[in-house]
Amino acid sequence: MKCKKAAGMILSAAMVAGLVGTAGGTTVMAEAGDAQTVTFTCWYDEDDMAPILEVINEKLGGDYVVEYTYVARNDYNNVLGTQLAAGEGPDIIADGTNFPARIKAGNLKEITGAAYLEGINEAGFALCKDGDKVYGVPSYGWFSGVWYNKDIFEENGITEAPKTFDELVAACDTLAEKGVQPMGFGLADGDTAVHSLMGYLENDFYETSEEGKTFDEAFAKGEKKMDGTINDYVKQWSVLIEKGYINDTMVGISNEQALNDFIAGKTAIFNGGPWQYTNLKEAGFNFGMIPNLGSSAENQYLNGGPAVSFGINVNTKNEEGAEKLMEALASVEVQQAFVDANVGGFSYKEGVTVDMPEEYEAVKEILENGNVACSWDRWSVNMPSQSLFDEAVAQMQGLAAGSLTPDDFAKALDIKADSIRYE
Amino acid sequence: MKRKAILSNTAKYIVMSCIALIVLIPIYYLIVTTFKSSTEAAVSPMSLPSALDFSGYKEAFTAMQYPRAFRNTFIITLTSVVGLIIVASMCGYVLNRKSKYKITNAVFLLILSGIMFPYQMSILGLYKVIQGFHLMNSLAGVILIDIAINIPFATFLIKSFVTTIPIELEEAARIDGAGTFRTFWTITFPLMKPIIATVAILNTLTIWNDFIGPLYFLQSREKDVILQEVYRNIGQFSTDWSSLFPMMVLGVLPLVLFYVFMQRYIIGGVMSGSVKG
Amino acid sequence: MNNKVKMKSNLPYILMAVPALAIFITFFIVPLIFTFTYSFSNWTNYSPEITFAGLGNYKKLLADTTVSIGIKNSLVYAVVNVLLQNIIALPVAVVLNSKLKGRNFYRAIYFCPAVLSTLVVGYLWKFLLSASDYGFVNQVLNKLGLDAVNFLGNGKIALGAIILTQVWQWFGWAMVIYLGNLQSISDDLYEAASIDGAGTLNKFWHITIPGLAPAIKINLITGMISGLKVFDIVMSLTNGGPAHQTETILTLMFQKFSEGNYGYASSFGIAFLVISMILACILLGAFGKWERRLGQ
Repeated sequence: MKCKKAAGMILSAAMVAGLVGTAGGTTVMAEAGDAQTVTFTCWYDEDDMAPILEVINEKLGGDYVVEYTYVARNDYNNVLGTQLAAGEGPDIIADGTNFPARIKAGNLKEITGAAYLEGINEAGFALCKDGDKVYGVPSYGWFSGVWYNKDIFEENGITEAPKTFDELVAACDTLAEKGVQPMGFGLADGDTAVHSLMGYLENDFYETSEEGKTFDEAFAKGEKKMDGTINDYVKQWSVLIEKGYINDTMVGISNEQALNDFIAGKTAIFNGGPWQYTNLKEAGFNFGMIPNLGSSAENQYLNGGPAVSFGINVNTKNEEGAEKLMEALASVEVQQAFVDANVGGFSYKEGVTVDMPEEYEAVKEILENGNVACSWDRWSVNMPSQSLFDEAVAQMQGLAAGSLTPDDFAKALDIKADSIRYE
Repeated sequence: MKRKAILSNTAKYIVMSCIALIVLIPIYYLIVTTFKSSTEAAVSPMSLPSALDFSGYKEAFTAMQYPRAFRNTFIITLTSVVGLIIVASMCGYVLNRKSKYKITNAVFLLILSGIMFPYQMSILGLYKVIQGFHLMNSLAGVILIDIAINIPFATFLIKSFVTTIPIELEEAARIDGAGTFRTFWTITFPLMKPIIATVAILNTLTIWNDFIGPLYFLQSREKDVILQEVYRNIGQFSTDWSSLFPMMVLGVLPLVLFYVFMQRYIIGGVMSGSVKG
Repeated sequence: MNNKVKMKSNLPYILMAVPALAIFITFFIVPLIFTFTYSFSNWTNYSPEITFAGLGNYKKLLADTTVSIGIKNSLVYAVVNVLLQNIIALPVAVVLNSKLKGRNFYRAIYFCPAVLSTLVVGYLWKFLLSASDYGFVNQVLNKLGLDAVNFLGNGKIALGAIILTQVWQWFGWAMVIYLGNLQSISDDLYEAASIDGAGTLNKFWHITIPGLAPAIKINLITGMISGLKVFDIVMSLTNGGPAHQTETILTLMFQKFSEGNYGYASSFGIAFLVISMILACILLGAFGKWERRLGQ
């Protein structure tokens, strides 16, 4: 009995101590700055954002301090969606291909005519506009591509980087024969295989066939179906799966793990984008980027567009702070910081200088021609396209594991689209 | 005969120890990995760490804004459990003592239906209700939800237990001039201790570990609970083990401590209250 | 007159029952009615006006192939999980109820995983079961000369892997309930049976199991219902993947919810209600029959 009482007392003492201690802790935190905080949330982790936040805070000039929250990419749509539905959420809303969906849902404040919109070119507003009304500003331009390890390629007698999809498959064959694992994907949480497929489609279907040029718009409206249209292209691309270069083991591996394997030289090819450049450069090996290839070596296209756009939460309780932060985000300095953190990414803002290191040799011309586009941004006219993209990522796991056929894949996209179209 | 007993006892020990090993290995792995680098953990997962470095914990503590998250979780759990005990004990008592009325039994059935149907299915309606009361993104909202969803089982347990309390005690108090409320709080409630203990422990475990409630009803970071911090930080499956594993440990530590102290009651029969009920 | 007096004497009782009832009705029954109503509407995040949609959502539900996967998975999970847990927990409880030295030690260990949050348990097992080089379980399999298994990446076994982690976590909970019940079975019954010459197994079937009827009932029903609403573990282990093969009713419902498809998500809730109701009726009916047989 005595023992019981003692245990109870210790427990309650510990809890009270915990409470008192924590109460003290929070007060200190609140007192730390006199500046008002203004909040925003995005899917870049704190380390990646640190240099950008520094520039933003400088730009805010001490009146406001930005409070940044990181939410993992996979959960971003869920977390932000629920926050906004509840009339809550950060002062500044950041979103990618779903930015039009946020406009449609009435989550964003109209900012047409704001002074800070100047110097941003029209392409940058692709996701931020509803008719003539402006609701946001872009950050930088992203594109996805294929990183390859030049040393491994050369050691195995591949001197020329592949220029067509067939050449890529041939390179993989050579590597596999020599006992090197050609490609590394982390399909447990990664979307890179979908980028590979959609890149193939962009080159062979969307930009180069008559049907392709108008397909996505008609598809978004519900007039056309994926099934019966893209099946053959998916089949052609699936050579990578048939040959085992993309396989079921990768479904159990995270994208970060796959990246680490590529850096460690365990795989020769890794699909990704400029956001990994610094990581790869620090590892100190010879690498380069090629686009996601189609069957032609001429007039190629990259998947890409405005990376993340920012707008003001219509329910913000801190309107002035949100305005100030928007001004900062649209400034040359911050836009420059975004591009610097994504070496190779491009900018929509006048006055930002873009550095194109030699690793990007093979994609330079494509970027200069402005051949950058992606399906899901086109879908966004009539659906929250992130949901359909996520569906493609989920179905890709089945395709890679061999449990789904290309026909199943196309059908699944149709079913999903049917359930999420606005009209 | 004796030899047979020894043999069977040895067999029991072997089986019990094997199960214990299966239970303990993942927990051991969780703890030792907090002190290892990713490489060390990958190469020799079961070895003791080469050094006891607490810097991972320190980082995790800061990254998770632990004091604040702990305080929120603590407030939600404590308030919900106390509130639940107060309302459910009164309600269970009335349902038992007044069971001769048809309406009482109807009410009891209504409450009982709450055991059968998980509240998650009506989360959209709940979302609207919480919004209507302006309780969105407030601890009070989650507390009320936690109380509401646990009322059915708690009331059920208490109602059954009250049968074992002789009504004569209450009648004696009544003759001395005590009112219904006083009689309940001074005579009956203290006699309900065993079942209150069951309800308290059961609900401390479930409410502390509830994830869906906070996930959907607490949106801002100042209001969030420990599990949301774990989710926020580990959501993206990362390869930086030295910061991930301490976060997992910090995520479960408070309840593990609670268990260490209350272990004798929990495995010693407090839970059996739910069987006798 | 009589009624009034009754009313007056009962007033304190009514007042005592009101707080619980008010909270329960406001935050449990009312949301249920709302959800039911919404399930017949086409309310989305993108159309502020809520309009009547008839059975549209339910038709969509039947056409959606992932829904049947979700319902099947929730049912398989609930049934297999609860059976495995109890098949392990019951004999373990019987052994630990005998006069075995160190039994409290074993009890304490077995219950331990039940206090860990399911979310964290999921993250932990994600590391242990990983298909990467560092996956501990696969390292062990390799040492034993077996092939590595892609536990979470193979859609055919991922649900099984999820179930195993939950059996690991919760069998101790079921065990504790059985232990509590075992204390109430009188020793006299066993002694009488011994005098009649009954063996250990015989006693187990004819005394222990019937005596444990209340605990079996509690464990199966609560286990089944919490099994149907499985969510945390799926989210942390597989997030419904690969290719939706571990999706459950709840993960799908929350997915529609965060997509802003509120009317559709509501119809999931109601479908969920119907399934729970059917299962609960089957279980209660079965137990009623068993108890009547025991009573005879």
